[in-house]
Amino acid sequence: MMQSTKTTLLRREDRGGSYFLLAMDNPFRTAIRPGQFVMLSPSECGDPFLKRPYSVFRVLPPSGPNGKGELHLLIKKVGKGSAQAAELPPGTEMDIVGPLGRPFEIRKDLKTAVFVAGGVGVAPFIWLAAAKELRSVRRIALIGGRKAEDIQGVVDLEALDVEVRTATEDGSLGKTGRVTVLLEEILQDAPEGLELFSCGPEPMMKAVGRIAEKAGIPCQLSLEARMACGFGVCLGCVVKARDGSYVRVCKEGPVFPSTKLAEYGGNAGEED
Amino acid sequence: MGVDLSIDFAGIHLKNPVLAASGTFGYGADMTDFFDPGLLGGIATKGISLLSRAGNLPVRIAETASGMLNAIGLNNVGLDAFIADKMPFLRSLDDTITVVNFYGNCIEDYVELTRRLSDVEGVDLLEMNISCPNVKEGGIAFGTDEGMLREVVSACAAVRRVPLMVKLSPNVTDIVRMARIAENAGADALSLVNTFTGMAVDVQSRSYVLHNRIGGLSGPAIKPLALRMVHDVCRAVTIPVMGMGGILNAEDALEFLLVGARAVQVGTASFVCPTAMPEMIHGMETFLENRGVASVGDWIGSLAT
Repeated sequence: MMQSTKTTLLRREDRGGSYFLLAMDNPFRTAIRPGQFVMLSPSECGDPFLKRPYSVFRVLPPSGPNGKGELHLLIKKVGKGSAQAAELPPGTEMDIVGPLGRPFEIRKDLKTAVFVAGGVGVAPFIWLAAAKELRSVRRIALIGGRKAEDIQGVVDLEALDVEVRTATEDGSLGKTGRVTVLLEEILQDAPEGLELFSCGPEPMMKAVGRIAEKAGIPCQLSLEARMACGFGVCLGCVVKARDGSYVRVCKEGPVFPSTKLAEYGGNAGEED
Repeated sequence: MGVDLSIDFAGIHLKNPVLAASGTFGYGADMTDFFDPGLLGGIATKGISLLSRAGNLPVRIAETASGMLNAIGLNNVGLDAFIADKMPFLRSLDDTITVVNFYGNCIEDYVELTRRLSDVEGVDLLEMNISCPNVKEGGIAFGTDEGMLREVVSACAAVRRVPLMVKLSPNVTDIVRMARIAENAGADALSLVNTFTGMAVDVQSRSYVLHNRIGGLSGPAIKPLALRMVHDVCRAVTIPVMGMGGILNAEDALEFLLVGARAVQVGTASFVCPTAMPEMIHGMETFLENRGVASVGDWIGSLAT
């Protein structure tokens, strides 16, 4: 059940470069599933006007009898909203709506989960890696970015016993090149019961979708889109489905099987 | 003691004057997690066309200072699916009225929609959308061309069996003139304003932000513009007016009522704060009670002049 409520900022943690983590009270009664997101307003005065969608990075259970638990978001400074969020002092009360969207689906016969992340797109995989259903599953995270500071979440994933491999375009960390190079390597080993989970820049996810489909591997993509509401009524965040209709990133997504989307995987988007 | 928030609007009883604006509340059932839509005076549905429409290509929205541009393009399920799948829920809300916003490409479409929607049980009021800036065909031409406005309103008024409200475009030289034409052509009520035509461009990519290039501006940015138009139209016509444009809270709503609107619609506010409308209804009640105003009807049009 979605809620529109308030939360209080507890801590802000610098993650290097333009990345930071916000820890706040988890105000939601409903459990947050991996892949779901929240709409957060860093301002009271309505500037910027709209809330911003952020993927849930981690949820900490309540500690102590009156504890609310914590909600963690990994944010990259890209515009006005995130720049304001980066300056908020602990104790700030913020408007928040959530939990929103369709989470990742974890199938029963999953043996190897490969997370393919670009930059801040690593955020949902920390919470996914921690899912109970994935405890006995081999989990590999492939993280790519332009330079070393764009490789986020490594420590958090390793703490959850996830195998982490990294690639940067400038070669400052891990393999030199794009994250898809790491993916091709994994696919050569052809692990059984494999599924891909991907989140990151659009061209990256399109490439991941194509590779997955070519190899006949199931792949779930967590999309990003401009959205006004986050709960299905503004129809601003749509993306084209393979049947020609538009689907809402906030409601039918943000997680989609790659085979559902028109421009991700299949023969689409070869020009990328 | 309590304040009587109910009003009569074109012969329809409204338990309070706050309605969800078209295109911001789906078909009524999408926001039940946040509050009971039965608390509202009414719900204006997403604009319905004879056939379903996929809407415009993304990017469809852009944030602006104190508002947003949208170019959704009347993405809707179409008349038959609306009646079959969406009306049962709207009908189940006993004393919350259903306002069906509808849109056609030509006069014949408008007439057929008026005729068919008039017969649907639970439809209380029709809102003729002649002011969408985001569709290529017909659309806004009906709202900006005097002759076409007169023609489409009189054709629909002739076949309506429930009250017909015409939603006016603000993108005209003189909205009062358009309001008078709609009234004389047989409209039972007016709603205004639809969004203002606007544009956003990106200096990084040197391109339009919206795929449709232009979009409709909504939100608090347009409130003073909308308030002036509602004020002027209320003085020029005798049919009831539903006011809208950037209403965020109870005070905003009371301003529109003060200048003569008999009810208000709330749209973009619901995107930012899903519980804006129930909070607004409560806030209006508290405000009027504290002022010793027994009925919202006494507040409507009571601006000191």
